[in-house]
Amino acid sequence: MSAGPILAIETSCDDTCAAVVTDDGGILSNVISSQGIHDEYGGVVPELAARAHVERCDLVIADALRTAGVGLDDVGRVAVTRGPGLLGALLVGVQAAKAIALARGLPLVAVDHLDGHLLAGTLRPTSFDPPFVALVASGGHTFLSRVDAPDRMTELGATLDDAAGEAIDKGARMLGLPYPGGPHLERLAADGDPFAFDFPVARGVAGMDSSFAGLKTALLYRLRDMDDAERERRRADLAASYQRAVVESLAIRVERALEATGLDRLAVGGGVAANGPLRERLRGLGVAVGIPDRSLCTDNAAMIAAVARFRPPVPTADVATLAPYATGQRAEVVA
Amino acid sequence: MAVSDGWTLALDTAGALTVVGALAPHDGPATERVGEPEARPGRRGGTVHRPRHAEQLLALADDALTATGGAWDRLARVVVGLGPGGFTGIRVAVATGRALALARGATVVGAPTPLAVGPAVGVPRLVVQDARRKELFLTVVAGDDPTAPDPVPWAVPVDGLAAALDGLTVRPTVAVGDAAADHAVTLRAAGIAVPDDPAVHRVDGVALARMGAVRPAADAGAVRPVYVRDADAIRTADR
Ligand SMILES: [Zn+2]
Repeated sequence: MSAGPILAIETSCDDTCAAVVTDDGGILSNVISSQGIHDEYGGVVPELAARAHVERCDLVIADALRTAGVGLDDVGRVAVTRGPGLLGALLVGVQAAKAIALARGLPLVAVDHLDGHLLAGTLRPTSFDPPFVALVASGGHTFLSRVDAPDRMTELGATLDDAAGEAIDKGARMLGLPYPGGPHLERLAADGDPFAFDFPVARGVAGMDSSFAGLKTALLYRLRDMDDAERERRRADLAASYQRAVVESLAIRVERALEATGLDRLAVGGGVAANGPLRERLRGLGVAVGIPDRSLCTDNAAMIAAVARFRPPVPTADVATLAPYATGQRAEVVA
Repeated sequence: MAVSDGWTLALDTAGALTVVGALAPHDGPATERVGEPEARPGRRGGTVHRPRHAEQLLALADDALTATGGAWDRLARVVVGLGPGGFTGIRVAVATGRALALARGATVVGAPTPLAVGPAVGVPRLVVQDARRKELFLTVVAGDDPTAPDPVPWAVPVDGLAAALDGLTVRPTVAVGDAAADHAVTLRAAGIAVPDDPAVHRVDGVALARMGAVRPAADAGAVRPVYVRDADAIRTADR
């Protein structure tokens, strides 16, 4: 493999990201340009996301190189998120990565976004290395994997409906909180009683899959049964109980995964990993827990570089024709 | 006039065809490469053409550059067709062009796609492009002075074409574009000729390269797609 750091690009959703990472996992730069244009719509608008990516992708890449103090002459490889994600958004990053690789004669590594979340914590300074069970929970995905090695990972379970972050956002919205709901819900919940309401945690869903549809409906019905005054008075209790249900639901699956695999190490990733009560609950499980910095939990390009260290490059003849793949598809893990 | 020291590469992905032009320095050799869309059966019968810009653009560019004796390290200028056209399509050329410029320290300039459609038929010409959703993009290319302000495309409903032609202040004599032939009856009824040769109705890659070679350059950040229409901003929660 070529010497020199990895230039990584990630545009699968609404953040335009580029990073420069050394082969031994040192982060030289990790630029995340959040679009901040979707909040008023209560979620990501795919066409707006793609429009924002194309206007800033090259600028973000240049910024990542500048911040790292690295020129394209020094770069050893280009890495890019190929999928899953929003096709129009992915396309911008994939074209940019292919253009740079081709025009500079550099190897190109195509990376699966979800693998990025799984291995984000292997970067320094966390350096939390496999084997471990990994929980990834964000607004876009929620799943559990067994990671035996950086190139050997098996999915143990995933959400059957909403992602955990999505469930949090929807609950927050029902409680009249702005989007994105996570931090607002956590703040409101801090003043409430997490045991005031007994919301469902989908214990009946077998195995390590999760489900948040019932929880969402339960909150809706609770709110419907209350008059305005009571709704206002119990808001913090509702938030705390709802949050506890999301946390408990995830923790139950993690416990099942640890038991099923016999592993005693847990890596946590995705934006929901920033949630205080979730961190606390998982740290209480009695296993080694690796949670990287927030900038590595939410979507970022450093995690794409983290994976690229362990994946072979796209054959030279296929670089120009590489195309992204959408949500619902998953690259076959190269063993 | 060509860019003095290095190659000019033109990219356009606004329509169904993937079009690339390469131009060697000092008015050296120029060539064009055109990629076809994928034809497959439509859900409601007939054939639909899915553009293959992402799969084809860089391979065609590499090929065109090599065919004119160039190489990536001799790239001096990238010209991108800004649209209008398919939203996803126009982003492919812009994203690719801006990244190529970054990779090689080249200059990137944008040009409205209609300027490179049918330049051989002269001016004033009307460029009629398929805008999907029963709409057309119309652009009047009034002159061929490269320093004049760019023409501004607009969208009209297909059944509003005749009315739109009635309201034109500059009377084009000829119409070109990927949707011109489909609306030849309406166009001809308005006294506008529609050439039969299909080749004049598509983007000319070499013309785009030559045009871009003399266009003033701005920051890469100013090279943005021309969408004409707003994005459908539907809230996730309402979907
Ligand atoms: Zn993600």
